[in-house]
Amino acid sequence: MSARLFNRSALAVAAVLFALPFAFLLVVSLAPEGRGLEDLSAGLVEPHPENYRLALEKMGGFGRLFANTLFVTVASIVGQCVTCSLAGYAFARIPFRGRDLLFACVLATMMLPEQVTAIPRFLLFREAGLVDTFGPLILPTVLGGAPFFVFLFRQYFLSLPIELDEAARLDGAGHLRIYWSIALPLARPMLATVAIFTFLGTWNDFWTPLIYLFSDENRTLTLALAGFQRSFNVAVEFMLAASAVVLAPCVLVYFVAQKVFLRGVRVAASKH
Amino acid sequence: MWTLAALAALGSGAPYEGRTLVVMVDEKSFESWDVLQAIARDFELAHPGLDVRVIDQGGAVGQQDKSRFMLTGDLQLDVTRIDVTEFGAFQREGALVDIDAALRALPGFDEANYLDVLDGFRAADGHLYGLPSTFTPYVMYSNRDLLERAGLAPPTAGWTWDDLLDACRKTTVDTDGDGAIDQWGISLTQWLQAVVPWIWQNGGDVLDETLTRSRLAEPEAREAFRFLRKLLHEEKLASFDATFENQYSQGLFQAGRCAFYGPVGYWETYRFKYITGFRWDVAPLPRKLHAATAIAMTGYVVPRTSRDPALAAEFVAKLAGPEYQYTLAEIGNGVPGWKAAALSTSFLNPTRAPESERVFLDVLGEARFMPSLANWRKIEALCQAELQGALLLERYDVDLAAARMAAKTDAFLASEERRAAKPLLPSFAMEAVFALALIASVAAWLAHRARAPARVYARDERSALALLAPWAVGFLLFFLGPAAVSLALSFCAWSPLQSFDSVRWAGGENWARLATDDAFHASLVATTTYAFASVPLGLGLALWLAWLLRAESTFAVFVRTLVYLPAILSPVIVAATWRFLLDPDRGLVNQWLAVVGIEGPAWTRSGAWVIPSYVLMSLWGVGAQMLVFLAALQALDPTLEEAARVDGAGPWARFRHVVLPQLGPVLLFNLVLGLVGAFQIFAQAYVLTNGGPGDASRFLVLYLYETGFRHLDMGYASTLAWVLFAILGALCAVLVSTSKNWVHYAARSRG
Amino acid sequence: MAALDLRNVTVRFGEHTVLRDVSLSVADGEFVVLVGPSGCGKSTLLRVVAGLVRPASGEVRIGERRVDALEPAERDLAMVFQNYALYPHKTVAQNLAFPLELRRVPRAELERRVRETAETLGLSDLLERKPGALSGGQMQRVALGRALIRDPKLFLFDEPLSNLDAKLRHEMRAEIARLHQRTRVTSLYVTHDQSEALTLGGRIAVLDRGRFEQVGAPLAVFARPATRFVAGFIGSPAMNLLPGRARGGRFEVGELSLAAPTDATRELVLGVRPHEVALDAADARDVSLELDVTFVEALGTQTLVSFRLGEHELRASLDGDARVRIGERKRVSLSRSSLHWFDQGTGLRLD
Ligand SMILES: Nc1ncnc2c1ncn2[C@@H]1O[C@H](COP(=O)(O)OP(=O)(O)OP(=O)(O)O)[C@@H](O)[C@H]1O
Ligand SMILES: [Mg+2]
Repeated sequence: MSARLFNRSALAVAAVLFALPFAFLLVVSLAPEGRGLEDLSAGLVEPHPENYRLALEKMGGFGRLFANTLFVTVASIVGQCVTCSLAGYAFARIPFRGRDLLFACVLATMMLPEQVTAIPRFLLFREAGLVDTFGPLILPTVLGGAPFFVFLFRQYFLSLPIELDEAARLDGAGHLRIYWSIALPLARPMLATVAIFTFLGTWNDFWTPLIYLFSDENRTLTLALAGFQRSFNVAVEFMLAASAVVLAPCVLVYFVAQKVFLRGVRVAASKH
Repeated sequence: MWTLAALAALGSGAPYEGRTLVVMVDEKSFESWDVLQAIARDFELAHPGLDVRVIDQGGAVGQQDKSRFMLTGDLQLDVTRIDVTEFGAFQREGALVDIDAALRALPGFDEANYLDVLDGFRAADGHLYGLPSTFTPYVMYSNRDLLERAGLAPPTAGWTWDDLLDACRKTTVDTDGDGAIDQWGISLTQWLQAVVPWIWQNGGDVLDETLTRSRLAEPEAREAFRFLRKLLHEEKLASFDATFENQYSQGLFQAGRCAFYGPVGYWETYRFKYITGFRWDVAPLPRKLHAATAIAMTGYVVPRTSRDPALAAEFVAKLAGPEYQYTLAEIGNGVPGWKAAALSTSFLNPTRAPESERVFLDVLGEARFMPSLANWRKIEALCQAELQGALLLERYDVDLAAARMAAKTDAFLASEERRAAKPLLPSFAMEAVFALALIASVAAWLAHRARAPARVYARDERSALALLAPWAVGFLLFFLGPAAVSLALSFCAWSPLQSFDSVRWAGGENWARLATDDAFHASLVATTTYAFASVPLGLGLALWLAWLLRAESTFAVFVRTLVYLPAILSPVIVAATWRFLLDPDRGLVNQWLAVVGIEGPAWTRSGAWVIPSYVLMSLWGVGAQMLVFLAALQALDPTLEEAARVDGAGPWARFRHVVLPQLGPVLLFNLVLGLVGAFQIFAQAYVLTNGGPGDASRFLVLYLYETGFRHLDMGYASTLAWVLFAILGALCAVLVSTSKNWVHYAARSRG
Repeated sequence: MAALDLRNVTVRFGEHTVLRDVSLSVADGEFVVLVGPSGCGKSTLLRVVAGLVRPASGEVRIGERRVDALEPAERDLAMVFQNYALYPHKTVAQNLAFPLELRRVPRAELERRVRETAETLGLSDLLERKPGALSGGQMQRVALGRALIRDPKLFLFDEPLSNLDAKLRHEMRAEIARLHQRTRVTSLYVTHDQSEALTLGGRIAVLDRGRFEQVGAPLAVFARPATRFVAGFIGSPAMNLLPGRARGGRFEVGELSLAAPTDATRELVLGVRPHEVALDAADARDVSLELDVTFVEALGTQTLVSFRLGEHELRASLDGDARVRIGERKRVSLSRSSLHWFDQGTGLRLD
């Protein structure tokens, strides 16, 4: 009983600690300009909800920013899910020569920091005339940019009974058909998991849009957020208010999808 | 409508039809955006048909990266803003256009219209390559109330080191008598630009006239270092506030707990305008043999990728001229380079502190720029670690630190000379590497396949390849090709300010350098320490949380959600939060520790505590790992645990002997991912400590990034990347191969 | 409908040879049961026929066609899996319809055939349920239905009844037999349950460690097992197998001594089915001796009694009402005609 009490209180403390950044973000974002970091209570004693309105105004064209970010995110999610699940299916289900070597390649991709492949990649996109389009943001993701997800899908498909595939093959289904009619519908929890990870990654990505996007009409939310940080001074309160707005969809998505997500991770984690 | 506009354009001749000017200046922040747009429109009116596109630079965080990529990619960029310390590099690498003649041809152009800071953008041949945006000399901020209480007059021009020392002695006190000083004489800044004025004041310098030899080991410089060390350590009059460049002071000064703050620039007035508790002011830096100070400045330049340099130069002049400079002055960006704006009430605003704002103009006569070098940033970085080692960490003696700074600088300058003499590779070399890598890898794979016994159906193989095609294209184009290029670059010398046409062959030099590069060794130590501490602790915490939260109760679900939240936040916000929490003087953590009577460590400002600080932060991000464990725990077969319970096993024994062994695969999964993640730690360190103090938190990827994008040495950066790649590959191989002993799979799945 | 012919099929997984040089002919319309212990390669053999596993060597013919190079779907056969392999996300109707959809059968005909198949198997009420909501027997019937609905040339069953309880297993066994009676589709049926093999098969093929030990009619296999393995595997309770040595025309094991089938000195195994062991026999049998009872299992319809025979054990199957107690000494007799002789080294039958 006392152990139980101890666990409960330890968890409660942990919960508070883990909630700190959010509390911090919210409190500071409500503080009067220039006071947020000086005095944490400022935002509580004298909340300035208009910071949010002002921050959105200052970002300029919030609707457009939101639409751009949403487009990039959705396209990335769809592409990522399709490509990675296709590759994961092939690795898990189709015997072919050189499979282990290719799979080792997938894993190797995780180990080289992106900072060094960035320049050749940039030149590639420039040659293709895709700079200042959403192409460079979407294509690498769409073409399976995250090897980790290929890996996850492979694990997931390995956990499904092979007989399902075999039955379908006897019935006359090709691999593409099996993938589409059998494997993919069964991988729904995994799709949700990958979608969430991709959502969080793409939505919060700053560097790629920074480097590739120039035009006003192409700006994304994170770029606009960065506008709050200048060389020597930062409008912390506005920046955090804007951050809170940008983050809201992430939190929402996480809350809504938590269950499915957990199911996906569960299966992927239980088999190797 | 469209035809009307077209007709109008035709009618007026529209000499600029179809031409565009791409402008990227950092001031595209919300405060100056409208004015900047107005200027652009105005410029378009004056040049019928012209289209001025002001593009986003991504704020302070992104400005350098973006312009670098545009230069590398040879994308049109006509006007941009750079820091004066980068000017040497840009100009020498041929990244800038000489706009001297174009500027002088402009009607009404006169150097006398600007304050005396144009030299910052003047090349060795006397030509102007750019015009100032705003600048600031380094000055000293003072708390007038505090000084008054100590019976001291505010410092005035001509005050000396001794005056400062004396004032600090009188203002450093332990007000509450608990044995710890809580009011300091000075909050001393310690980045190289802020330290150099002390050297100048003492008659020394950073480099000799020829800019080929360091003078930091000479007595004048050493004496300056010793003075700072005396303030910091021998007499303990100075605190460690605002240690890192671009890191904001956490506010000893704002809290009214130090008499002086500096040397530091105008940007602080922007933040200090919110101070209400006391009166404050600025003063020139104290003098020794000479009065001297340094200038920080940014300015507008025309990069080599400009399609229309003459027009661009005109726009530069416009940005540096009255229309924009008054606005910048009002925003508080710095001292405007346009003299009239600087002298106007836009800058010298009588209603706004500081009272002695004129000081920023008065000290110009004694102010100097940092030496205009091809790679000032690198020298700064080389010295920074030693400087902090000697001043902040007290790790070694001043003379030794000075000697090492000088030796490193000299060696670096010499290597730069040699680099320029290296043979150029053919312009298509990197394209060739890219293409060859693709061909070779496809060929290698085909060969590997041919060797494998053909016990599979051709039909299966064809479908497999079809399904893998999208991934394979991505892999080849976005990973393998670029990776091959970076491998090739690791044998080359190349600055990202240049295009890929000017890569020089360096042989094994970059690889040989690994053996002698202290910063690399430090980064290895920092990274491995961090990884080997944070990963096991993180796994333990994640597992513990997952174990306690595995039930589906409302409480558990609630806590679970909270635990996962930090993983959603961008690292930048997380780092900002921690900066606030871990601040040694005012941070919440140390305040709480003080409540239970523990004197908290200096956290990120202490060489010994900075890695533990990062480990602590990393524990905050265990949400994702916890979820994976949670999922695995929930998937376990409960009968096994029940059987153990029947056998009389207690909770710990059940966990240890029943649950843990079944978690083998998940443990391995989290371990591998955790290590890969930990070895690539970057964003937090970039935002929070920038590698300091000393080299203590210069993690491998941070060092790699600085080397490539700040110090413009892509060759060595690529070498570092491949070292990291090799380390991670080896670690994972070892883990996976030893895992057979502790990872037990419940059932083999076909595959 | 078609005959099936396997010639010299060898399958390897890595270093591990799972099927060695296996040949088997199944006539058109025949029902052949493959039986063997777990892991002997039964499923692998079915997968080879289905085209799901590619053999290292050998050939497979269905009808007159060589099918080695054909895709599973082109072989026109249906398979029922041990774990049913129903698509969990599809309803029963969708599961049944899937093979037809893949063949682009027109909608109306598809629906008609789904309905008919469901009726045949008593699934009509379950059509809208998903597999998760079915009982084991129902799932099994859906799996059968999915195989039936296509009218294949060849049926492959992989232990389809092993997950059912005893009663259901009997019912389904009868149902499968009826089905075959009606459709006369060539069938290959895998089981590791020898009684299932004996009752179902037109012929049975006994597989051990990747080789056929014997192929033949159930009763023939039962009466004259070709090898020591088959002798031990087929028949329940299992045949007594007593290893001993023949010397000078006599074979001895424990207290038992009888005329050997050969005069040479040789290591042999004597096989006796438990129900051929008589107790206190009134009629004079060829061999008889007194043995101690070590164990008694009363099973209702029969009683199994174990005797100590040297270091071996001899089991006898008696009537259900036989009264025997542990520790008793009883007279046991055998008739020569019921004895089976195998070579100890090769395991082959002597005569
Ligand atoms: N894909 C595979 N890779 C490697 N070995 C395999 C594979 N499939 C089967 N085996 C091995 O081949 C042997 C025969 O397997 P098979 O599934 O044919 O046995 P079975 O007779 O059907 O057994 P059961 O009655 O248990 O189903 C086993 O030892 C098994 O471990
Ligand atoms: Mg089997």
